Amino acid sequence: MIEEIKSSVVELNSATARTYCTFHLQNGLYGIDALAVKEITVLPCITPIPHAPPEVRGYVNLRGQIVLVLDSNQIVSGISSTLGPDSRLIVCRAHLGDPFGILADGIGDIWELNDDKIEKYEVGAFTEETAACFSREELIFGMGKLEGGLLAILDARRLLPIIEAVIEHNFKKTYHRTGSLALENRHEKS
Amino acid sequence: MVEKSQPDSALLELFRAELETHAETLNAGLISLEKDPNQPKCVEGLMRAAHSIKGAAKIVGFEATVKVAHLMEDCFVAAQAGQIRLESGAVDALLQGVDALGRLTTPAESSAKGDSAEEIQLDQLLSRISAVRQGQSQSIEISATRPPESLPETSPPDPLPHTAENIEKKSSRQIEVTLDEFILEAKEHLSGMVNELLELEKSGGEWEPRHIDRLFRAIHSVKGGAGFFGCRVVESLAHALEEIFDELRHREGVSIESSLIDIVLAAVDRMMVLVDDIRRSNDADVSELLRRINGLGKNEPLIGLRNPSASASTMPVVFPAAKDAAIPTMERSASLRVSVSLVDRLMTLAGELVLARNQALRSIDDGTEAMRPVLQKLDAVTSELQGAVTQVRMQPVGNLFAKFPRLVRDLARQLNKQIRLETKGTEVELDKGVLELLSDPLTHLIRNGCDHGIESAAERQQVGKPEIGKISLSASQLGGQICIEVRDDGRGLDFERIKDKAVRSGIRTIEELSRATKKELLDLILLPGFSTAHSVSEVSGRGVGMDVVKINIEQLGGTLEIDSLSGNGTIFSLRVPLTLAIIPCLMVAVEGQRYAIPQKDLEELICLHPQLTSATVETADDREFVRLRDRLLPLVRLGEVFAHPRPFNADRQSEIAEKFRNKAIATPDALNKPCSETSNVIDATLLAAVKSGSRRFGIIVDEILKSEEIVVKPMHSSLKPLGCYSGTTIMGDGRVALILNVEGIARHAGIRFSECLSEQNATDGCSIGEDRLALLFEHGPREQFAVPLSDIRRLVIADRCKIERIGEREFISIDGVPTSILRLDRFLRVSAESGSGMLFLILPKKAAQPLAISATAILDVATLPENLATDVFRAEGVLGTAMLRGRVTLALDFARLAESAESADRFFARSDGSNHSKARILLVEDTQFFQELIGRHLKEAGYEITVAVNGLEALRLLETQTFDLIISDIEMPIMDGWIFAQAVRQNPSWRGMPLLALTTINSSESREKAKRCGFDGYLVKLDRDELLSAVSEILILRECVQDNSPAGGES
Repeated sequence: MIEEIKSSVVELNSATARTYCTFHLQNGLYGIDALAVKEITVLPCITPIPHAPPEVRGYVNLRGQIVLVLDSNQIVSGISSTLGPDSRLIVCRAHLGDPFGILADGIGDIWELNDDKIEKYEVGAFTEETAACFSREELIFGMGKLEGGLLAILDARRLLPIIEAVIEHNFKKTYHRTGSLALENRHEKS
Repeated sequence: MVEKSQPDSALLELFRAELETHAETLNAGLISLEKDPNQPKCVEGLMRAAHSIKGAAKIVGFEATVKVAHLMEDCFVAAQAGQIRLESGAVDALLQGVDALGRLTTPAESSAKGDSAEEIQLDQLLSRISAVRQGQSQSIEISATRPPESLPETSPPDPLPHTAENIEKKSSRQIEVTLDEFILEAKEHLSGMVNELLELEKSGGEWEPRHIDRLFRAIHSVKGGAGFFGCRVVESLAHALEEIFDELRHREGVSIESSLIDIVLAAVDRMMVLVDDIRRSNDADVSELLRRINGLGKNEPLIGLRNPSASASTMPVVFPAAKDAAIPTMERSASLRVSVSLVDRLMTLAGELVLARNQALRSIDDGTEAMRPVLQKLDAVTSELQGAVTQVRMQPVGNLFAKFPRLVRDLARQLNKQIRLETKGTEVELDKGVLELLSDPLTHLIRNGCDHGIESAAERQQVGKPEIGKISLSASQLGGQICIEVRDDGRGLDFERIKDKAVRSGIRTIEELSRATKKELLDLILLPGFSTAHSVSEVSGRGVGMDVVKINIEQLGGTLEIDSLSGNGTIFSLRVPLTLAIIPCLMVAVEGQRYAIPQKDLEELICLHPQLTSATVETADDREFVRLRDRLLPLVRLGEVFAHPRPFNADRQSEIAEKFRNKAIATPDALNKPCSETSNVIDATLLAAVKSGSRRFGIIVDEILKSEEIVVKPMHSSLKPLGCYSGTTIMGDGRVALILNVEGIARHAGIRFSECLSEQNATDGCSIGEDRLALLFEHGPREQFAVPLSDIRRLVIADRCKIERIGEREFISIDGVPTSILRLDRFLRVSAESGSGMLFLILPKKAAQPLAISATAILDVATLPENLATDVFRAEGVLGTAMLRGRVTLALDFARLAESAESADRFFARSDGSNHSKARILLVEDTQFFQELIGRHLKEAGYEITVAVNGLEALRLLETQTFDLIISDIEMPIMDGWIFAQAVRQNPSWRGMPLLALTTINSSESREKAKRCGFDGYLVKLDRDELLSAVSEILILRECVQDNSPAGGES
């Protein structure tokens, strides 16, 4: 999984322009590569999943497809999203894994940005121990310089790995606490 | 001429599928020919199959396959013309041919003789088949018993044709490990070679000896390893390459052409693929590649490869098929191969369409009458679409059965017995997934039957049975389930030996066994490690197996039953659901969210209510239990499980136990509350007793909603570590619900009962036999009654204020159905109830009319003893008496009681003069127009109508409801009237049901057919008066028949 994250680091090329779909979270404006977005929809009724980390809000039924809803506020800033009339679900494309979408407090504009308008974050040291918190930091791969402000750009490909890392991390903690019981869990997972 | 490139993978896939189908036909046909050589029709089928294979193989350029198929076709042609007879020797040779066809599925370029062992084998096979063609089956029969042995010196020492067998021979874990190591190592070497070769190519053919040395050493290692493990094909390729490199080493200064590198790379690539699937590598045909490599090394000087254009023309893989212009096209088939995921997607969308339709129906309501017909049409089309898509996943069970004749034949030979296999019901359709999972258990049962069941011919003669043993395999559909029966006419199970074994292995005491019923004894052989075979044989009898078969079937949500008559054979009955995609589940709710518990994990539902039962949740060692029939059932509170993402530890356990202990003490005043339904439910503890493997425990939930058939969808792959769920589903209202994984919950909550203890409990539970469990209740203050649980549909708490009286009779509305209340004191000489306090209603499973027995207290569930005393209290509707829980108990015969109540009702009804105004008619009709029209006519005449859109749905309705008459259309989707009528007639409980055909077809043949299929009458659509008079005639007739034989039909 670590390899996956590493390999998913976006290569920036100053010549190319990308389109970003922007949305509001509690901490400001965020963007995601429009090519990763399948659709944006009003939130259907969410079924919570007990035992899933807070980053996972639940399941929704989107025209017969069961879509996992990720709480983007929780992922980005550790604060649970509050659903309101402007809340939307940004559903990601199938090539990113099993169907999932992220919550947005509101939808912003579509921006086209040349890669040279984006300042890339540095990739830090990466170890198994820091996987959970580290991957959360690595979710944002750079800052886009818009005329009116800054745009934090999310890498959609790292969303599911983050969830997996959090779940794995939780299991590991359990392992330290209750020993063999959790070992069984891990065993089953593999 | 157009050059053909390598056939694309899709085409090859298609070819393999085609080959498989025809190979099955060939196998089946040949085996049936062996039994009776005089079957011209069968030979014709074989000829066509061989011909089809030949044609298809030509298109994809499988020359060897073409040859074998061609020769086989010749044989069949000759046999058909009467020139030769296909005796068992010949059949053997031809069957080997079929096997070879299966193996030869890689393109071979030409008929040129290669030196690989594969080809030699092929030649031997071909000559054997040619011998058959010339009618020399006599001589072949002798050679058939011996596998071809003479292989050339070039072949490796081990002549076994399959590496798989080869490796299995040496099989020990150690070898397995080293084989894995070899695979890894070989792949390392090979990928190193690829890089080296690419480097060489880049350098434009200039090379230094060390490059070639490295290549030589790598391939040499691969060759050595492959030789050691008997991977002949890999070894031969490696050997050929080794020779090339060796030659190059001695020719310094020569530049290497890219064409040579091409070939070497191709060989290396091929070896990579072969090594990946090493166990089947020897099935691969590499003769063409070998020829090219050898051609490089020997015939053509390496320097000669300088001319790039010349070498290029030799490069493309030319398939001989391209040269043959007159290729017969593959038989056009009316079917289409579609990926399962696409079908699943269609399923999903059809389901969504249903939801969208429901929303549309709800949203238009009144005012827009014009929309209604449109929506109704949408409605009908949607349902039909859903049905049709479900059908797509279905496959005839014959596809699975087809492989068994060969199995039985081979086993019979091996065991020196004569066994015939008969299959029935091959057209019955099953979900593909279920079909695949049935393969292993059935194979096991058939092996068992051949090995232990069927006796040797001599033994059979002694006991006066026909020499040839018979195993029959039959499938039939019963409602939503498929029943598969494996029956042999062999020696049957030896009960004495089962008892003996049970005592010796300490599973049961002699005492217990003397009381055990036949069924209990038979169930013993399903226990792990229980085998009664005298000796462990090659085929079966290792004591593993029957329990595995049982577990396999149970995992499918099915059941396995055994019946056996000593000396007269054994019957295994498997019941499996039609499909896995839809499973029956119990919907429960916890904190407002719905969850599904698969029915297969569910044992029973228990309601602990302070007013109804003395059983309560007991706490010990910080764990909660309930006593259920003297067994401790550990409890898990689902709400608490969900509240804590970490598996429970001791602290958590005590915290939970403490929390609920206090709660239990806080609310004991429920007893004094007025009897209204809401307060009753709130104070009750609802639990679902479930089993996970051998463990049993109770899951406490907030609400138990209903049973539902749900479509299973997988969990999101990122959430797979969450062990408490096995999947998701979409509910009727469009929301998602989670399917619980009972095992995961047990693990999470740390259910700890030592396996063997709970195992013992579980088997005890089984041996009680569910048919003997009975519900104990009171009606009047004095007597205790018992009703078999198997007769009870459900229990309802009645609200006394809602009971209505009509003359002598009492009614209450249950789910909107007026249900008459049967008071025991009116039928038996027992005390009457006081008329105050709680009143329960026990609803029977089978009753012609809605009816319920009233009770004032539900006491317990107990096991009825086998022998009831019948002379203590004799009365209509009483099975007998027994001592249960220290009291004399009257065991009731629900069916009898219901009948006497019904006859009383009928009497009342008749005196009203409206004798059949309440008759319930099931109308099976697919077109909405006729549904409306016929329905209206019948409703106007005062009948109650229920509509089913096809036979299948009607069968489902028949299972849950009772009708007085069925009117069925003939032409319907999914299940037409013919099949439906036959199905109705086959079920004993519906045999007497009047069945009327109502169709637009007016021909004497179809009238005849209607009679054959079991219709009582035949009407042509649609004359209102004719219909009504026919209906009333039939109903009056039915009533007379019933009156003449009172209390006869049901029992």
